[in-house]
Amino acid sequence: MIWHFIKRDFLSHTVAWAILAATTVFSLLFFSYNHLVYLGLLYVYLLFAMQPMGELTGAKWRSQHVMSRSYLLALPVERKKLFWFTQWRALVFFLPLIAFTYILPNYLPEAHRIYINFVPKDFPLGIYHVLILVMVVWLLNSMISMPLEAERVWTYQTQQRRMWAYVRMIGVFLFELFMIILSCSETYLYASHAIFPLVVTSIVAFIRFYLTRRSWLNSL
Amino acid sequence: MGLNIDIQNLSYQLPRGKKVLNEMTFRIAPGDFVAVLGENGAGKTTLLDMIMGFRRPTQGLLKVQNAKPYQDNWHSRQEIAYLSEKVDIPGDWTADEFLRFNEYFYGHYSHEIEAKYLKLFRVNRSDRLGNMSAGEIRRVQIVAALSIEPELIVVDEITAVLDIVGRRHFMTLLKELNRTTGCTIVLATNILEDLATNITHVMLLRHGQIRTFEPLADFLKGAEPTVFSQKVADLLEEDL
Repeated sequence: MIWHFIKRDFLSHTVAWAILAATTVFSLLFFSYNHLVYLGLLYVYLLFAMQPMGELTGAKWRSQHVMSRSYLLALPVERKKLFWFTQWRALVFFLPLIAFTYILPNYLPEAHRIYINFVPKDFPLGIYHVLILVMVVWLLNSMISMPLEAERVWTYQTQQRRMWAYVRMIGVFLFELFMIILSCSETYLYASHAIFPLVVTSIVAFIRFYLTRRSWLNSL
Repeated sequence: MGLNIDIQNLSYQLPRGKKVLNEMTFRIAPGDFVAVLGENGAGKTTLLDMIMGFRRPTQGLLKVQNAKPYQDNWHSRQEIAYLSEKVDIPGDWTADEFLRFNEYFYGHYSHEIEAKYLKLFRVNRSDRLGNMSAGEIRRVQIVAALSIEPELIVVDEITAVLDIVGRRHFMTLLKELNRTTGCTIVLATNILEDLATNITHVMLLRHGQIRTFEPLADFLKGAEPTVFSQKVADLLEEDL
């Protein structure tokens, strides 16, 4: 059943996939000598991964472009299963980013240190690969749960409550981001244990995943 | 054979908000065709949302064919057609793409019935939904929903956007399905036209409570169906 959704997602985003492929080929063919192009591609892949996030959970309110959540929930599919489908569907859009970041260390300059004390080649690749996956889990769950949270905020009755709910929602996200960046900076800047960012990011990602699941199961 | 709906002391309160449904108790038997009526905010859509399992009761019990829909009773949704004004489909899909997407989830989807309804509602498979009017999109949804040969049809105010012919076709079709297959139908609407000749029961909601729930014949008390709209309006106004 998951393939039915993924196939449909692919058909709905064929143009976006084609543009992404063309951008990648063009950039690597003509600009691969400049390492800044890798940074540019990272942003492109990140934007690509984030653009369908609002569609995956379905729209609570009327929309010409997104399927209604009411329709999704009325389908004879277990709601918990729909949550997992949402995770896998989102992950598909992150695949180019994951693939790119997996192979990136092989192409970064080896001769000189690009960060103060960090040499990409020296970083344990096993940990690096798992860390990327955990970061993606955190990011995609943030992108799924924030629109769900925003829906709840919009249904609050008073402006004051809405304001606080917004502040809390954005504050939590920024705090999570800060924790992840801090843990990675520690490793990059001071070459401390590589496992440290993995542990911190895993904890943050797990909490975010749990909150997203709860939001989804209680959403309408 | 249609599905039954049992509701006992059902209440629903919005999170941090008002009580939308207040201690409702009723039973809809298999084969009933119930029109749920009431002024705006009476709780019609919330009641239908709860029957579909979208919302969890804050109090009381709700069972569709002896199973609680809010406990993710997804098996019984194989038998339920849901038609709502809240349902939208991406505009870049064609009617056929939507029908094929929808068909996948239902084991007993009938292509024969689909072809029949496509013709009845004058839906062109290759038309893009984004180029259709609201009424035409509803027609596509009707075809998709009714092609699953449902045992329960839940309709939340979709007749308002259908044109006169479309609405008549839809109401006649519901009546025909109700009489021939014995499916249960729960229809929430503000359009009273064509109701009295098709439904079997009337449910009138007022501030989240049941004002009236009775067979149509009892509701009319021997009067002609033509007075139905007047009677409903009088009852609603009486309470103001």
